[in-house]
Amino acid sequence: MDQTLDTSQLLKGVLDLAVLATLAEGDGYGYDVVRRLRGAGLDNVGDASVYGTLRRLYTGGHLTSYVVPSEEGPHRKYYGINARGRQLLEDSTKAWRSFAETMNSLLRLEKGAAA
Amino acid sequence: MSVMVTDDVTRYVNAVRDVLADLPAGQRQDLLDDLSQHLEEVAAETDSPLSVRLGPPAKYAAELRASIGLPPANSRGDADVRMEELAARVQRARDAAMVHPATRATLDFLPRLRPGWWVLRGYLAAKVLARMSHGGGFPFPTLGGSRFLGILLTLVAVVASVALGRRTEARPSWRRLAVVANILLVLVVLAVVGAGGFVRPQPAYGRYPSWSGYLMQPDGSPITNSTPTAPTARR
Repeated sequence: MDQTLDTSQLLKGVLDLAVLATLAEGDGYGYDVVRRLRGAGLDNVGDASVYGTLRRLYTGGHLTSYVVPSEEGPHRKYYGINARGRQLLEDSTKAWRSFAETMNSLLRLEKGAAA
Repeated sequence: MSVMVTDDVTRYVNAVRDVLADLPAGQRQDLLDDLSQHLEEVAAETDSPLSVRLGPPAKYAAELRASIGLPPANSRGDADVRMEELAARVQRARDAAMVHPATRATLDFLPRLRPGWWVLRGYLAAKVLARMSHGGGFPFPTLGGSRFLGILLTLVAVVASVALGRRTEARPSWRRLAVVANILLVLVVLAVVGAGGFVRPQPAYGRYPSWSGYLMQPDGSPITNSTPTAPTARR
């Protein structure tokens, strides 16, 4: 068994935040969001997890969704962040910052320094 | 789009459909429509099959279900789960009661009552039998008008009941029969009580001679020459 911390476990807790942050930069459809997350450095992120998170945030009222018709390919369902989602993003960001600071000081890392 | 890709996508969609069986149909279908389109895009990205990109369909489906926020799927329905929870709660209550000292004391005492139950059982059986043959009476039933027969019947019934009880204690295989017989007896007793009791109702005037219509002189011969008048002081 791998002795190091399993980042996929960490990610499960903050995927909501990551998805919201991604969509705050711009609307996206399912696979697009996956690509952007991976491009940002979360290469372990599971496709199913992202899809499920998008659905959950949507049914929770934090995202809007609309279909963009396309002549060449399939109609794509896009997700976007709404006011409620922005509020959740803001609150979650604060919570994350506070948590990260606590962990950093626990691990005796300086604030803002790379781990 | 190639047939192979579509088949691939269908496998994943079906796996997800199976694992989300407990969702309302509309919500589930919405999700699945979305999903097949999403997976087609994933498939279109490279030539390798979806299973390389996404892992086995069952695992994909389980991960998706978890990220939607649902507990892991199992084959039991909600009703089954509720039944199990109810059964567990009943069991816990039973265990708690069994541990309670009052319960233990009562349960320890009950076997001592058993011989008394045997006697009572015989007595009740005799009363039921007497009642069915239109006897009755208290405390001992009369049988065919005879108290003696009634007492005899009761004694026989009690002895038989005690013998049955002792046999049942020695041979556990008889126990089921005895329990059934006990229950039947209790039911019959309740029915009899409900139908009016063990004592046959006596007619209200039965003990008195019927009115013959004549006043009598002190020697018993009838007075035939009187007309009703106001009562006099004469006895």
